[in-house]
Amino acid sequence: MTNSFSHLLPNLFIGLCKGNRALRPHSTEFRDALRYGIFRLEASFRLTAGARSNPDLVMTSNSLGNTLVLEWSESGLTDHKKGQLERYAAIRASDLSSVLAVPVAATHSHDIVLILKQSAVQQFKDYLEEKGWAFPILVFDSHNPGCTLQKLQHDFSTAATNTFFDEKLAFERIPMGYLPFSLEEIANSTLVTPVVSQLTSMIVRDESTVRLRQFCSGYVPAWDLIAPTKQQEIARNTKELLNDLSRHETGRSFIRREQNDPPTWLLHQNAEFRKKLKSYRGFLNRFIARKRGEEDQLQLFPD
Amino acid sequence: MASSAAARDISTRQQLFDLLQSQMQVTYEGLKEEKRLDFESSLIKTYLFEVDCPDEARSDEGVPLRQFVQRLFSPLERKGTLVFAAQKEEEGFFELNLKHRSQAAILYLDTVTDSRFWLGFSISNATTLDWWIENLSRAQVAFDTVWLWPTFLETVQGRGVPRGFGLDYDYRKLENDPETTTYLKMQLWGGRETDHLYQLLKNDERFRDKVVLSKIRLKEFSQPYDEQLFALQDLKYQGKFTTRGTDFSTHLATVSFVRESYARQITNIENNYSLHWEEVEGGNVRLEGSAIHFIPHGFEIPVQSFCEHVLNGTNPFRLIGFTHMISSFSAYSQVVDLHTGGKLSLEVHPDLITLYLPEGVCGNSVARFYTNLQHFLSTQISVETDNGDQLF
Repeated sequence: MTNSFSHLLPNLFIGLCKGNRALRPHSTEFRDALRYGIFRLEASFRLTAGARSNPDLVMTSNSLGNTLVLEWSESGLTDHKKGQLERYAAIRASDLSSVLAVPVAATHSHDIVLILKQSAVQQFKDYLEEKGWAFPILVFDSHNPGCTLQKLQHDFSTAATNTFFDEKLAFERIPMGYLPFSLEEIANSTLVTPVVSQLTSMIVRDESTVRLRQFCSGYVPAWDLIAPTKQQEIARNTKELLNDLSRHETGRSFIRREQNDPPTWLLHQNAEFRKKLKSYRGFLNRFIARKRGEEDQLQLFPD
Repeated sequence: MASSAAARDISTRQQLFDLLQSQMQVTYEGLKEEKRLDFESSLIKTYLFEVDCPDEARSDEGVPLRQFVQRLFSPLERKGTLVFAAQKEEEGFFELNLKHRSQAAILYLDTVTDSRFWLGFSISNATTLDWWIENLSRAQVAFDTVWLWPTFLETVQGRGVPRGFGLDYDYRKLENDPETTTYLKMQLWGGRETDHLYQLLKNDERFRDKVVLSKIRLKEFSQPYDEQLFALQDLKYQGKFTTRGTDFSTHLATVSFVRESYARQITNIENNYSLHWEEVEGGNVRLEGSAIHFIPHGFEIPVQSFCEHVLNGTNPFRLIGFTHMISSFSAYSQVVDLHTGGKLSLEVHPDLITLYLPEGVCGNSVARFYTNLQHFLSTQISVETDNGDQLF
């Protein structure tokens, strides 16, 4: 599990919208009083003006008539970021309702919200001032497992949203299970645990063949709704992981590469897996630790 | 099954129930006269199973139901064990014959009245039957028992007059110090006053976190009340009934109540709390469902020990977890349920365990997890969803 914004923040906002217990009392207010809901993660849509906008998260509240368009950044202000901000500034209510299909009831007002690390704040602040854009800025400080979210400047369009973020929000922990990994960070290290878990599940269910796309759709939430380029990236990393497992002496005893096109592997009977559960579990945990670069975890699962 | 019963040709559930009604009375009279019986020798045993029966087994195409039943009820990796499933005249009603070394058992199986929660009836030897069911539960991913948590058992006992209870609590799995042993097991049979003793223990400060109901006994009368018509029933937390008395239909009414109530709870978990992304208007997506929180009261979860001993694939949880410590005190684990192959994820903190149940994963996993938490950790755990609903 990583502690990047792209993993922490979607889980935090989903938790707030769900009223998650670990985020109370703020989550109760966010869900029941402000009534925000997740509308789209990583939306990508054309603006009437022509350019394409890619906010990290869009949340809507029909009851407040407001939409929050969120962009988060862990790094400083690059030219690419400046271009993004330019496009956010161009977003009109009609772009949200007509192109992104946000319910009209939630487009009476909207806010472009920037969530930043403290270290990046000054650059963004100066740039917004120069451009005359009044985007609310929230500073996100993650101190594992807890975090804080604090409004730095500029008000939200609706008084209720403003009041909510006026207070520095402190959370003891962020619930991390809604999105097991971030689509912005597709790599062997982020996918290895769900891949191993999916593989184990298939072995236990006595399935005999692994087909790559089917395998991915089994562990990636909402696989069919993910952009094809992302699907390819996930599939490529998954294939690498399964190949690595099937090349390993121990891994070969339960998964073997069958063919390249389409990529297919064969699984062995679960009876063997059940008999040697302890040693397989140790092997898989070591495999995960290596892929995640957590050498310190290896001692927990000796060979 | 007793030879007299085996000799009879049972073709329908009605014939079976007639047989069990007479067997029930004979056994009860025998018990009254002899005051003893060979260990559960001919008492009626009724089992409630949860079965993931593929649709094709119910259709004309694919694997017929009989073949599925035969495979499902065959113990795995047991040489010298034979099971034969015979489809009876009534569709979906089976007679299963087990031969295991020198032992034999007959189980009548009702797959008709509920496509998922099946009933098994038998008067065969309890030891053989229990071995059989235990083996299936460990080895067959499409087969599980039900997991009745203590308050559920209390509700069932409330249908009749209490006649005793069994307690089973065992914290030793999580203990690191071999010098301390924290467990509490007892069985107490008697009259109505046994309930008073149960309440005393349950409310006693020294016992309340360890008083975990594992078995109940109740005497339930027929409706309208007739003191001559009753069923004296034991119910274990894994869905096994043992019955004697004078009225088999009263027993069947209890079984039906347990099955319906349990199925309602499991379906509720699956329909309302499993997490899934749903496509809504405009091609957008919405995350439906909710996290499920297990909240300890008056104690802390020993996080490391919990991950080490509960998520290692062993009985009774049978969950294998791929775990990362996310801080010195908290862990996140992607878990595979070895009973079913289903996946779920857990966040484990000293003051909270949060379970995320993906779509398609059996709600029985949640009931099993909760029930086992009670038996192996503490009774002082409440279960709540994100929107504040209390489960269980």
